[in-house]
Amino acid sequence: MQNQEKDQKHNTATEQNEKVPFYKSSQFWKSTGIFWALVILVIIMAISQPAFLTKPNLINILKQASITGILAIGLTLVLLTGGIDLSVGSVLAVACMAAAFLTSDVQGFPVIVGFIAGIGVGAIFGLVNGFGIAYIGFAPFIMTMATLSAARGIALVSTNNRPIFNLSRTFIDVSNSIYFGLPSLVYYFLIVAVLAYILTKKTVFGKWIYAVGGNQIAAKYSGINVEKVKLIIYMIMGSLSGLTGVLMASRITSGNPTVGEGYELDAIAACVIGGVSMSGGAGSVIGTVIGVLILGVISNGFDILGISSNYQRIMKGLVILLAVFIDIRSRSRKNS
Amino acid sequence: MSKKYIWLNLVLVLISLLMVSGCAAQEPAASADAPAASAVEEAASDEPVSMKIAIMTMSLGQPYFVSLSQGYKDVAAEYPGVDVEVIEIDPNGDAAQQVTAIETLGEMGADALIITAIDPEVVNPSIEAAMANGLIVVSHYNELSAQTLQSGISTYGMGFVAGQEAASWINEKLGGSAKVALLIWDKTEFDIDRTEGMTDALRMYAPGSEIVAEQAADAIETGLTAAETILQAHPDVKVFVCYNDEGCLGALGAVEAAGLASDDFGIFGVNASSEALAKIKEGTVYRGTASIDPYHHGRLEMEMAIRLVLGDFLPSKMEIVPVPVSVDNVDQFIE
Repeated sequence: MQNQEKDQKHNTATEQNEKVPFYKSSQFWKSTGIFWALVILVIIMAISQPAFLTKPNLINILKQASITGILAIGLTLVLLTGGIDLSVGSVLAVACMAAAFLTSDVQGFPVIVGFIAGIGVGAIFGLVNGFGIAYIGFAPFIMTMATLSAARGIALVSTNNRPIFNLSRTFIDVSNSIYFGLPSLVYYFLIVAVLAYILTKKTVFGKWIYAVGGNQIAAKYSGINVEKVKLIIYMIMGSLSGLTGVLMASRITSGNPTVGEGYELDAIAACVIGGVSMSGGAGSVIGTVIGVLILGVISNGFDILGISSNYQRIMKGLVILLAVFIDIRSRSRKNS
Repeated sequence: MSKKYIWLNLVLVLISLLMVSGCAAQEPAASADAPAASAVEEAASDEPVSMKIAIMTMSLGQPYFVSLSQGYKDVAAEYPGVDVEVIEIDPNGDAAQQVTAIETLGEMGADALIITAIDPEVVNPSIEAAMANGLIVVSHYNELSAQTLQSGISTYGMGFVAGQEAASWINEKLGGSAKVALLIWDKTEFDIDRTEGMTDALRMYAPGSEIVAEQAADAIETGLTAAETILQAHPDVKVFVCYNDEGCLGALGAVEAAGLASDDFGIFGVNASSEALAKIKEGTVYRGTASIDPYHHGRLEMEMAIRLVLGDFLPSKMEIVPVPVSVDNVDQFIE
């Protein structure tokens, strides 16, 4: 009897699916809702200030969002495993100082050395975070909060709180060149996004990431080396923090030990807005990219409208709350 | 004449004026009499006098305060016949951390404190309590409810000098009218005063100029982002006046990247940081800054603090006047 009822329900659902085109289904709106939120936001900004929708300004938004974007993509991987990394802004600062120091007039190393040093420094911090979390058993929040403090201290102590100027012209061009009408920073962001998308959606390792975040115990029983996955993810995150540090040094034409303060919050916000679950196992790189663009549009739009940055904070807070509320609602519906 | 001597002369003149105008020398607190007397007796003997002096700026994340702090440390290391142990505390922009640090100075055995209060209202009670226990307090910039000596800088005056420089450049190069963008910082009273100084000077000396944009920026990266966006919204902006040199350096990057660096574009800041001075000297669109020479100011304040611990009588207030820096006089300020 129960089976018959189930079959009836299934048939009805199938009939409904046949009747309703996909673009009208709730599934379509759920999966593309964040994109439409971005579109609506862009329309509102364009109506409010015509200068917003000009080609140079749209390129500007992409450029300004790229640094946060690369961090957010790394954090997407971390959040998918059920972890968190609060140290990204501070690690960025150490990498920024390392790259600036090596490529300054005084040292005069080639650009590639700056890149290797910055990414290498980031990877080392990632290794420390990953080892502490995966093998020693520290909570991600505590471990990365400790690294946040230590890394910032290292950045400040390394040059006695002083910025490093006079970087080589070739190094400055790394972030400030334009190819086919787009700033080089945007290409770095796109490359990282594409690689992360392939990693999460097209590889076995990507499946492991979701499995670890979805249910760590089940993942372990199914033969996944959970510790190794976590270690690799935190190393990827560290390397991306290092990369953003190098790009930031090039963009601001200096190594500044205070750079990147609060960037972890913007990056986490972008992930959450993009639909990445803070409890792990759910979310996508594409969602995060849209989340990054939403934050970029808010910042740029408010600046163009001449609205104080204090109001931007309020707006960001409200958007994050809304995104988390939607996440909670959708999960409670799934469970019921 | 070197930068160092310009400043020392300026300060000595101001101190003399204050003393002549009947600025009463402040007696050390009763409880501080004994240590001061013994310090003088010790100084008479050949052994160096030992003392501990705590230094606390707003935040060592800002180059201005790094230079100020370096001035403190250099004098402490060099002062003849006195062994000064410097206790450096970085509150990282948090007034509550300043209060906590002041409350623990007694246990640290500090004889004096040189402080840039983030919020005077917040630190006043703990400063009063510390002074009642014999601590000598030198206040950098702020007037506190209790202090042994106030080394005053008008932060409004700093902003005013930057605004005045911009205004005279607008009058000279742009015929008195220009679209102006401000890169401000509005997190504390200190910051707001400086912004008011900038805007008042512009309105007073270049009434034909129009402030079309105002965004928060106190670092190179925030200055860069804010300026990029402002230049999109207001392509006719010809002048940036900034809260500090770091914001200006960011704006300079944005202006150069946008290909707008020309004879009719001007950027004006505050603090005379080494990189800002270099850019002014190079002849970029970075036209001017306001110097309060934090390094030599720091040297002077530490010297005052040491002398107060040794029992010397000093005026209760000295004033440092900001000086405009442009391509014409920049060489005097470059070390």
